[in-house]
Amino acid sequence: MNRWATLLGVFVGVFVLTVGLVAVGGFVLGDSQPNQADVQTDQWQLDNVAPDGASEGGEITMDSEESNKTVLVHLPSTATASGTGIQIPLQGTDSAITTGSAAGQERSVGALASTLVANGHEVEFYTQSTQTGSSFGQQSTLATELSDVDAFVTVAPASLSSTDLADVRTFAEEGGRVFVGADPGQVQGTIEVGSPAGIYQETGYVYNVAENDQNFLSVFAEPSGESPITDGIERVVFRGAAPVNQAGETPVFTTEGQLTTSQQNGTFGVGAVDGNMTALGDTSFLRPENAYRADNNVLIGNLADFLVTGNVSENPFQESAGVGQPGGGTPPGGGLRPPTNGTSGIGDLDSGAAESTSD
Amino acid sequence: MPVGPLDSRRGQIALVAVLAVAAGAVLAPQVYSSTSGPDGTVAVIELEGTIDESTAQFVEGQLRDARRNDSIKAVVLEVNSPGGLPAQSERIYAAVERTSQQMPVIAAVDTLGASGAYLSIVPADDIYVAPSAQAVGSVGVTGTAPQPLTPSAGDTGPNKGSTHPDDARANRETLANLFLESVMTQRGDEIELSREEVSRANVYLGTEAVENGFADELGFVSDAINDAANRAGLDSYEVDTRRAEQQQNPLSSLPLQTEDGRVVVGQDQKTLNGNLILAVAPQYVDEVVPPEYEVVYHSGEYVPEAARQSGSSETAPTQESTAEQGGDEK
Repeated sequence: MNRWATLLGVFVGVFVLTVGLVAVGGFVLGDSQPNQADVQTDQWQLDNVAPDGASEGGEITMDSEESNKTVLVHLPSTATASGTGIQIPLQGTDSAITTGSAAGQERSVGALASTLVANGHEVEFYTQSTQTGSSFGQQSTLATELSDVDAFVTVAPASLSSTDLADVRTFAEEGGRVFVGADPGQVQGTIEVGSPAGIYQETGYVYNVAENDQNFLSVFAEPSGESPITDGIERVVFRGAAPVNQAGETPVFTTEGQLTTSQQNGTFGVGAVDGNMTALGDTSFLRPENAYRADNNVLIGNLADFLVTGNVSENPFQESAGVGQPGGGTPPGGGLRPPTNGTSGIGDLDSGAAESTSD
Repeated sequence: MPVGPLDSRRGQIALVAVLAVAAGAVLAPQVYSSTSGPDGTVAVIELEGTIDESTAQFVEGQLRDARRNDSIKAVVLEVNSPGGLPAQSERIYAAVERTSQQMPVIAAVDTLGASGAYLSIVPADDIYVAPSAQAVGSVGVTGTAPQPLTPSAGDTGPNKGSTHPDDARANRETLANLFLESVMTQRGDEIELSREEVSRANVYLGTEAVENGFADELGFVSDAINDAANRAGLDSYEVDTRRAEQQQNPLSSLPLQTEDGRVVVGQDQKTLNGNLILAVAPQYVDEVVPPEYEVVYHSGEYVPEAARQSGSSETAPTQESTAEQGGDEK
């Protein structure tokens, strides 16, 4: 009996000793969680990576004391729109709206239109497509509209027909103020309407990866000469600028950057003014989100002043209609035909209503 | 009383000898391997396809295992990726940096080491590229172009469902700067281009990348393995290759798939999640898109689906190109 007890005691003792040693060894030698090496994070601090950008604020004001001027604004039709009136699907429905629920294509000139109306002027919209022009024996629709207004704005000159562009040239020659929004892609229209004045646009857009308003496409443009268009402006933001120049003249705005087509660095003209015509290589500054970026608000005010301070002849197409447009001119009964489809005036809206169209 | 063989001294010596041989035989493999086996292991970890959550989990896990496994003395990253999600690329970046503090880590790029993939490997001790590698670099991010706020009475605030263009533009630039700063922190001394030039997000051929400092050596995975072993002081080594399981759809967790099966990469397509910004080289994503998907690139104006189907897309911007890879037609 004693022998079995001794053996059992030895077994238990050895077992406990073994397990104990293993347990102690586990604590001492076990594979504990290793310390994790640190990763350098200084470069991720917000102070190091927050982008610089333009300031935002100010008001859009007009200096002109003119009143009751009428400005015709040409917008491309939805089918031919380029960079304007982007459609956004409504959440939870199959339908779509144009950007700015209360506005359509006119959103692309919303800030300018509301400024003009707020200062006592009238704005009409012209949305005819390129297919609509003059036919034999008839005056073009645009000529009809231009006969009754003081200024003309287009943000898509390339979508106007050659006949329409010729009418715009005539209108400017007769004292009508014209603004050409020459976004990238509008070369043909800009040259066609601007060439008599030496104004031209080059293909491509200017960008700047070093100094910009939070995107390489959003370049800063600065005045480069004396012009009412640039009064009070230090710099403006163009979110997609095309080179626009005038032969033999200093451009009114320039920007430092690189041109996409040639990849050449340099200073590029992005705006030109010749008498009654102003062409800028960007229209994004007219959009409500960009209207108060840097000095864009000042530019919009200056542009509005430019548009309403012209002195257009009483009937700019009376003489040219008979030459360039056979059979056109005064319809039976005297006077030009009244505005037809394709226009809608908002001049009777008060400024608050007008602003509501720009989201 | 008979005398047994173990009762004699000679017999006891023989028994002890037999036990010693048996004990030696048990230990022999360990002794043999310790004298004749490799000095350590070089782990080759695959970084393949678009970088999403599963990619980051796999590479991060493998690198963690390498750091904790005493037999692994060096790591080689075998890279072929056009990038993916920025944060997941940063996860891999951090894991590579941690590992490189403990052992040599070398990346090897055959064809694609672009955008988020380049961010992932930029902390490596060395980057090898094949001379004909086609896309190394692309330091930048991409996503849908900023759009005006979309009104919805279903949201409790104006920014619940969409982001103001100014904020979207700033967020995108911040993500790009995070990427750029990481690259310049890790390789600012090697890259011979200015910060502005790097921010152009260009992709370089392998031979160009070695010249401008985006990469260090011309070579392939086997060169990287040999270099890593030498840096770890391994006279002899074995290679342990760790490949991710083949993903059924490498883009499954990226927000690139539309409801009708199209995969869209670009700047102005509303069917994407407009708020998610990607660290991808868009021009190379179709490398990893399965054949049943259609790849549509948009860099210009959004063209409504109805207009595309009605054939009026001829008025669409010329930047649009469509590469259709119909699975049924194959």
